[in-house]
Amino acid sequence: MSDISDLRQRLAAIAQTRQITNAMYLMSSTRMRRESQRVKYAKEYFTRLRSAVLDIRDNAGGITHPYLDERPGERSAFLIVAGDKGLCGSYNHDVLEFALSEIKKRDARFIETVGRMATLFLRRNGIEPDVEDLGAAHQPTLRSARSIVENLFQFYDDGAVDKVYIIFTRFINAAKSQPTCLKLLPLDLDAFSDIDTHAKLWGDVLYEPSPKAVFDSLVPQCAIGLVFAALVQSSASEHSARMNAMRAATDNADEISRELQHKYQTLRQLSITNEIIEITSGAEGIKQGSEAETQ
Amino acid sequence: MAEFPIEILTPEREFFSSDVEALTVTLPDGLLTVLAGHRPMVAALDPGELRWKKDGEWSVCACSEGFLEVEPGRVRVFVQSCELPDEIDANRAKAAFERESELYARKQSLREHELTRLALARAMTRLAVSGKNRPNL
Repeated sequence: MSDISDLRQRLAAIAQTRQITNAMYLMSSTRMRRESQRVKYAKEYFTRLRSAVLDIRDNAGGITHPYLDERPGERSAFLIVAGDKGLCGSYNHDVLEFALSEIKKRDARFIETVGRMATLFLRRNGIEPDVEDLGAAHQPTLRSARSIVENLFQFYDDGAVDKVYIIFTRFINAAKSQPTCLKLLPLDLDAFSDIDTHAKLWGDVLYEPSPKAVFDSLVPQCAIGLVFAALVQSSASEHSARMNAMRAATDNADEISRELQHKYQTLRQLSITNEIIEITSGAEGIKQGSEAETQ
Repeated sequence: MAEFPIEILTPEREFFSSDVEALTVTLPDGLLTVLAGHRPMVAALDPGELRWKKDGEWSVCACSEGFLEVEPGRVRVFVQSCELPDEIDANRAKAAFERESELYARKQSLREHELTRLALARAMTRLAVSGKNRPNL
């Protein structure tokens, strides 16, 4: 009998868990769709910005910017982007293990984290992040990208580091994402060969107020655009990982509850059969007893 | 008046896309109006007002730094953010204005000064465009 009530309790518990995982699945699939839309805009924005900067660099000649010059030395600053929450499959684990191996490979002088899980992970591995950016993982905004860039680039401007890297998860499609390490500074504008440069069809271009001024204002914007794109891609990857994890969890819950339901019904049937046997054999016994009495 | 297509893009959304008669943007050295048939141009934008004229009516919005690309037959504006008057959080802009104008008066490095200048320009634009709490200059 206790078996049956145990099973009944487990079934109810699984139904509740399933409800939660299913709700999380629906939520993250909506968020994922929204974020992947933003990935598109962020990418478009960065692509255009970059091709404008490349145009000036290639055509105006002799123009350069401190953010584009290679520096000798390997002192590096890192920005590590992960999620605030767990329950998203191997998303956090993948990007953070990757980050750890990258940090160990290079001379890390300064580490900034986005997302609670990144901070906790680094602490567990004996590295205390210098700055933790709260809130940027949950809802990436341009404002958070800007404040991150201002923070990180200060070290570069002051000459405290020679390189700035950003480690994030590249969002390829809903089922696929890839931990990536990108050199943010010095900006390597030729590195993004997957983005096609627009063909210069319109010849002589006027730069207002001057090529140099346009260039100086666009290069920092390029960096902000890049950080923003990284934040958005990470967030899209997180939601798609959570979506997949929660769908798997919901499917598992369905399967377990089907098995348990089957077991529960078998047991219930068994107990009913047993009771019937008891009753009929009892009744038989009574009948035989009364027959014996009358004889 | 002749019309030409413009697109205003931010990293977060496609803000506006339509045929207009004129487009006015804020450059570091003043306002610039683009009409149909303008020669190819790339210009850096300062935070400031952005206006366009459509069907004889001017619309205004507050945008932050970005750039403008004039191609033959098409104009594209790429800005970090762009907001219509009713999208602006005037209280936040006011707080930012007060914070940044205090910072602006202080002695800062050249780089910090530039960051503060841009932040202050963003806040002032938002206040001016939202129409409420115009900064008393």
